[in-house]
Amino acid sequence: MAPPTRAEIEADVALPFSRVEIHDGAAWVNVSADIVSIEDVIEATQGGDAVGFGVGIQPSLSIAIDQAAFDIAWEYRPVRISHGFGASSDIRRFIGLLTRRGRGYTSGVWQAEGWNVLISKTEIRSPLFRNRPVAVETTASSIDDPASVFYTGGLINYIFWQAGGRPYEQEATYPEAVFYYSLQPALMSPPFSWTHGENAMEAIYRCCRATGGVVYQDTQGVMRYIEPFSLADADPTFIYTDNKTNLGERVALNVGNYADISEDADIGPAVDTVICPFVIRQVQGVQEIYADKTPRLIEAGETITLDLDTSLPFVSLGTVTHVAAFPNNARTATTAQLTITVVSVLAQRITVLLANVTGSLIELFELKATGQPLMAAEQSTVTYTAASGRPYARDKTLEDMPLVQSRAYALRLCRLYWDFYSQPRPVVTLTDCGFDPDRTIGEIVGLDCAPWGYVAVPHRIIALRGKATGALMDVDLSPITGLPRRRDYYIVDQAYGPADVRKVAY
Amino acid sequence: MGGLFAAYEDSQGLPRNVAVSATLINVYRSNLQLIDRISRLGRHAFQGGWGNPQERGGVNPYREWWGAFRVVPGITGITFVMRATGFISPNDRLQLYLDGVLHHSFAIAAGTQTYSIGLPGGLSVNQVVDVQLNIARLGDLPEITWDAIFELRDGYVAPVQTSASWPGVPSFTVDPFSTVISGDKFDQLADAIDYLARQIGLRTEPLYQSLIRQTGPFEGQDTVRWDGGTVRSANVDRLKAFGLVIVFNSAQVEQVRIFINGGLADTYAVPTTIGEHSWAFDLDVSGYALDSQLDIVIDHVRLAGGGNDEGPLNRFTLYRVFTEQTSIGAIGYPLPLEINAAYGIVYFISVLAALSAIADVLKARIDASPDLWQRQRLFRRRYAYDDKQNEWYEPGMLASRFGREGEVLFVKGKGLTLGYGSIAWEEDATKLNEVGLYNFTALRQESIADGDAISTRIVYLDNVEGLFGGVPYHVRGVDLNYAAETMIADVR
Repeated sequence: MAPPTRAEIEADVALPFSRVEIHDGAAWVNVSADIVSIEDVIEATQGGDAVGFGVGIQPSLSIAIDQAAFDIAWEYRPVRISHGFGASSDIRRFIGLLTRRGRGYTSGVWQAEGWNVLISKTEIRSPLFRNRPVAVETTASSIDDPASVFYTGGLINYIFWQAGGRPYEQEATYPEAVFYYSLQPALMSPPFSWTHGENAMEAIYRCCRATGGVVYQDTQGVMRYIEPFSLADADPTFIYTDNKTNLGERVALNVGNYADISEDADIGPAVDTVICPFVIRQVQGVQEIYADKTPRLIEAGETITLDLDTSLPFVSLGTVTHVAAFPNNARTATTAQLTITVVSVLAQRITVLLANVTGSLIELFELKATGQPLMAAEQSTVTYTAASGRPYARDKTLEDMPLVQSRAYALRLCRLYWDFYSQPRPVVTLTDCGFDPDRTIGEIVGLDCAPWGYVAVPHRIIALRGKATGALMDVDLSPITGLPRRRDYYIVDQAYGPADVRKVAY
Repeated sequence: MGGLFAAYEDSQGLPRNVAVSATLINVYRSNLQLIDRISRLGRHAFQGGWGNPQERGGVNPYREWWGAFRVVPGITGITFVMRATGFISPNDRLQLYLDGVLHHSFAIAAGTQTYSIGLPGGLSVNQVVDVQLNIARLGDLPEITWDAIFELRDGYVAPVQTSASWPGVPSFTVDPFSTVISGDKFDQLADAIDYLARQIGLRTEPLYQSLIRQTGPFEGQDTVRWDGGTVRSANVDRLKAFGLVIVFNSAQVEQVRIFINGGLADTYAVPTTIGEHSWAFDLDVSGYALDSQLDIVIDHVRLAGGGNDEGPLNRFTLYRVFTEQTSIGAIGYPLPLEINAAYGIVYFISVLAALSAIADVLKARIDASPDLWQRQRLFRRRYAYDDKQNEWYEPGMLASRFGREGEVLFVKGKGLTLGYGSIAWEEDATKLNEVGLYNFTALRQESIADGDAISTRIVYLDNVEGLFGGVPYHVRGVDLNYAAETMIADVR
């Protein structure tokens, strides 16, 4: 038998190449020559919560650079990483923003984060949505532009759009979007939903916790909302195996190997009883919703813009009135002399233009607005409990969520949480898998593990951690057996045959 | 939340391309059950009037009736049903004043008349409009004599109509080959249920003015008399009335009588035992033609005994007159869907079809009773000839609600209080008020309109601690122009 050739030896240990590009404000610039290594962490959840409803996570990247990169402008610059093999084209692995630089004498490191860092810093105020799913499915034809009169997007759609995102399905229409997002339809619609200038990313996570669902940035840099029933609704097409395989077998069987496996199963997130508080919101009659007695001088011919922030969201705006006078002759200024134009109405903000159309100075003494406020009424809790088979029960009280506004809604949420969290979902870590850019967050893969008795047991990829060598990566999985699946339920606008049997959901 | 609508939740359509929600479909079911229940409610009879100008000392013009209504979506006109005898047309006029402004004047014709007058423009929803009917004799004629009798039988504004549009009910059927679970049909069903809720949610019941009078003093005369009216609506088959007689004089032989359309329908023999005696009438009115007017008179007559003008005199109180429905057959509701339970497509669609059919039945029921659901009876102010009597009688004559049903109370007036819970009497004969009544306070009472000026106020009854659904309450105040309870506070 002839000794192995170098080609044969190297064929099993192919190193990927990486392309690192930074946007300089005009175009993407390839800086790969100045990059030493890359370690990335792409996750869908963390903290032992393998399901991850509304878990606030973001991808992160650590890029080792050489001295030549010191002159590259990095502050908040978009960065994108792609990987390929040999002469192949590359596959996008990460898009985000550079947020830190550390350096020593002749080397340094960039830290990059996902779009979370941009979205969370964007101050967003929304209209008051009524009976609207928090996430409306994005498609090639969905209307996600809030300026459209046909807009039907939910709160998550609205926040992403206002932060500069555009639907991934409409990438061709918006080639210069800051980032892209892709949303599945949310299961539940709160009676009222809105955001008023809080941390926008936290508002999105709160929507996920109030409706079930996961938001994360995938390896393409797309912000994704996955509704709960889709988390486990796929069959594995790739298997991580502990069987000995060669290249040909790995390609033919679509399998990959791992060097080691570990599992961490924490009873922490598991529940027997779910308790959910709710607050009923009531629309009140027309009353004063804003009053401001700050004196203001408005010069002749001047127009000022004021944002009137109400303490409560309001369903409808009545009137906006003022008390104003001409200080020079003590006469009242009428609304024909100091005109009021309402330019925008959001859930808790009215933007008005006040125009002094006279030739004299006007002093504004008081500004009032009336409308129908949305007030908190009855507060209570609901409970759902079912046997888990454990010797001791575990209770979980969900946080106070403004979007949970009825008893029926709270009960649905309790059932949802119980179905997904009644059993502990371990995090399975596969160590030192071969680097594989085809693996994506949320993908359903099979797992073989002879000592555990596993044969192609379906799992969901919840984290991918590339190593600095570029050759290997760690993969976190979570088993999906027993989770509700979309295929098992009647789906609105789908067709069924006369013999079909399906479940009905929350 | 304590009103009948407390259990109502928004009927949401289903988001597209998501798993069908058992909870939302069960909400449709429970909402329809609630609407079914509310659609079986009768209503209180209109509190009218009976009078002769000479009782007012020949004042010309004199106030025959006063009250108010609240502007609600859809109303365009105000209607009165009356009967008159002994008046001279065209000199004798019935003058309709709205908010103190003469809006219409028409000659009082003999017999039973129905007058429908268009409302003026410029009214806004929730505005409370004062209504006053004066009788005036114009021209150089002698005073109206004792022969002239005017009876006001009914008064309402109409048509009460939600601004929502009836979308029809969807048709859920199983196609032999392929059935689509249509999101548009869920939207339509949700809109249909929402429409029904909005329409019946506009139901407004005026608080009932209590009527307290001393009986007698002459034999053979019905010196206490209550006039009013209602309509025989579809499925309304009982007419009920409740009140009280306090007997101070055991020598008097008296009866409380109820007449419908001039015919004696029932009597109650007042006991001669000293003390309080409750009276009640419960009459079958199913024999009256649908949508026919039922003129109601309840009087207290002394048949014999006790002499003329000799005290002490007994006391008559009327609490309420109302209709009820008892004959509607039960609607069969499908079982609630269980979350995560599996259903065959045939059964699942049958549930949806049943709910759709029920919505259609309820729509037909509501449409068949326009008097119940498309009219708002006027609120009657205190039984008093003039402002002095109005002030005198305030301590004893309340506007009452015999069990809270709705979410919101609209009032107009000043110095008004809302009271509920037990009543505490100030049992001190030296502290009787001007009309000889003991003062009282309710266990819970709160100011709902201050005493400075007449104003319209909205009281959200859920914010009144302890005023749960079914709890009776009353409104007190000399200047009580209007008090009525409406089913829901806001269009959902």
